[in-house]
Amino acid sequence: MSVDSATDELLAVENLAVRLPGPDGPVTVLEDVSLSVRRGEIVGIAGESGSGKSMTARTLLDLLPAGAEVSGRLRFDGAELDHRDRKAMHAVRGHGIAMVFQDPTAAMHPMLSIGRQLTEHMSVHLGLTRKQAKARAVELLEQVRLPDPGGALRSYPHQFSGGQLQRIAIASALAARPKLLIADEPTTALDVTVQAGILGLLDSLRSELDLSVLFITHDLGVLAALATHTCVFQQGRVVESAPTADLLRAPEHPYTRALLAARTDPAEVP
Amino acid sequence: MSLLELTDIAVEYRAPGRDRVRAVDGVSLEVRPGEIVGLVGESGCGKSSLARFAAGLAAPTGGGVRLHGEAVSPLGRRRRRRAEIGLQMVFQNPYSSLNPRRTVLSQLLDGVPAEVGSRAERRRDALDRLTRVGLDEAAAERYPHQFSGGQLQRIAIARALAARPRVLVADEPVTALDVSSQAQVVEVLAELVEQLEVGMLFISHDLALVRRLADTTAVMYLGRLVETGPTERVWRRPKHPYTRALIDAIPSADPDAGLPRVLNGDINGPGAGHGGCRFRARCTEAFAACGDEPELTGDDHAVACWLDSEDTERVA
Repeated sequence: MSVDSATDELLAVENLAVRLPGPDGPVTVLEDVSLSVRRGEIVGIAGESGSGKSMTARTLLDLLPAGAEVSGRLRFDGAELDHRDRKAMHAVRGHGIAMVFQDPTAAMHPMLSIGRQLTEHMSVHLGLTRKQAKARAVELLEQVRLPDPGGALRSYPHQFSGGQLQRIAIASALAARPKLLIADEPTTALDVTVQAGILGLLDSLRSELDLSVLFITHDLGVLAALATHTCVFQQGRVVESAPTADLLRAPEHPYTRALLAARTDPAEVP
Repeated sequence: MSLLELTDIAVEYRAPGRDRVRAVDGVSLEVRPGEIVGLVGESGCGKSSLARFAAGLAAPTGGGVRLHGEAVSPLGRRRRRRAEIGLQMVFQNPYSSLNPRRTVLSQLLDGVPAEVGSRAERRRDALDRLTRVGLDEAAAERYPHQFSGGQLQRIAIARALAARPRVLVADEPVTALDVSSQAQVVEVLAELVEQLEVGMLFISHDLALVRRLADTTAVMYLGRLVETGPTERVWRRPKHPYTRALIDAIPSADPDAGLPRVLNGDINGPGAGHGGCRFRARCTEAFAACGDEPELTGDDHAVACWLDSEDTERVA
């Protein structure tokens, strides 16, 4: 590995294995998972429900259920991440790595204004005053291209559509200027037209902020124009990992081929 | 003869202190035996409202629903007569549409008509429905939590079919599922419609999925149909700018295709519902004539857009 690519690397996961306690002893949910994300790069994770894609995200943020056994190496921003070190993990969450979830309506508190939800964690984590936090919130909403940011801060979640809420959730995740954004099926609950907007937004945030994104999805088509590299997960293992274009043009693993065959593509005309 | 006929359906909702909202405006659709009609549109366009009227779960403000020639009216507390049950629904979320505390078999038996015969015969009938959707008979004694989302949705389809419906209304039946389970459920639906000669109204926001399944496609925007026609023709030669935008928004697995094109604005954004074409504010090709609302015109492949109008004075 050259010196250049070593400094370029933001996240490296090596031989990650996770076991969760089950009724009949520990159950292996992830095994031998390795992947890496460079700065300003979008990496895709594709697979079906239960394939371990969300588990990988949760492991990075240490959001695993109690009793989980984790082994393997995690390196983030040039330093080893140690799972047993709660304080270090706490520092990484939000500042280093932030996450956006599938259902934006469930990620918001329905009875608090957008302004309150966006600024609350800023004053706790970043030590901003109310005024500073509000200015930062407006700036963030502009970054995610939400019209009328000032008005949005005074509004409540039910006043927004799903796509707008997902933009607000992304704004909230970006508050502490994380280096890596984990997006766990961020467009699955949205209309195709709205999905197209969110994909475009993530791509421009990547280039504007030099943000790295780990994009989790069950639809390989979403990754085609977005991710430079894609890992396909099946039953807790990475079964194929390649540059996205190569993986889509010449899928090697039968499971990748099956995933591709299952989708209806606008490009194919039978 | 059409099985399900929706004629000029209109719905208005009222909220105190606000203007009336016309959620569905003059929509007509029909479904024939063995035919799959795909209804496509974004959230909030009124497609689920339409499904509720078709099933008689709610009454439209205007227009009528006919099932096999008979008017469908919503029920109060009265039980629906067996003869009235010609339509069954499959809902989006199988986790909430099946009862978690009852076995699969007992839920399937709810629908099996009494005419089928003895208990044993009805049981056999229910098991037959289960195998038709590709599940093992052993599944009958299990509970919903023991199945995956795709399997549950197939059970929900089997339950709908147990009542021997003539029409199925499927409201986003695969939206909650993985692509691979989506493919399986779609296949099961297509097969059953063909085998059992039922008609189906398939509602989805995913035009690619509708293309795979439906014979006829109807595109809905803000409570109105903007384009209807044979699926392949609508897909290959979309006439309405909105249909084109929907097709362009679908991500392609072709690495050279680039990011899907974004449709500007929001379905409820400014400019919506102030007279004229409802798509006007988001349309890249809007011109003066769009200040008037276009009607859905054309025989086989119909479109509601001035661009396609033969009234040349308007286009000029």
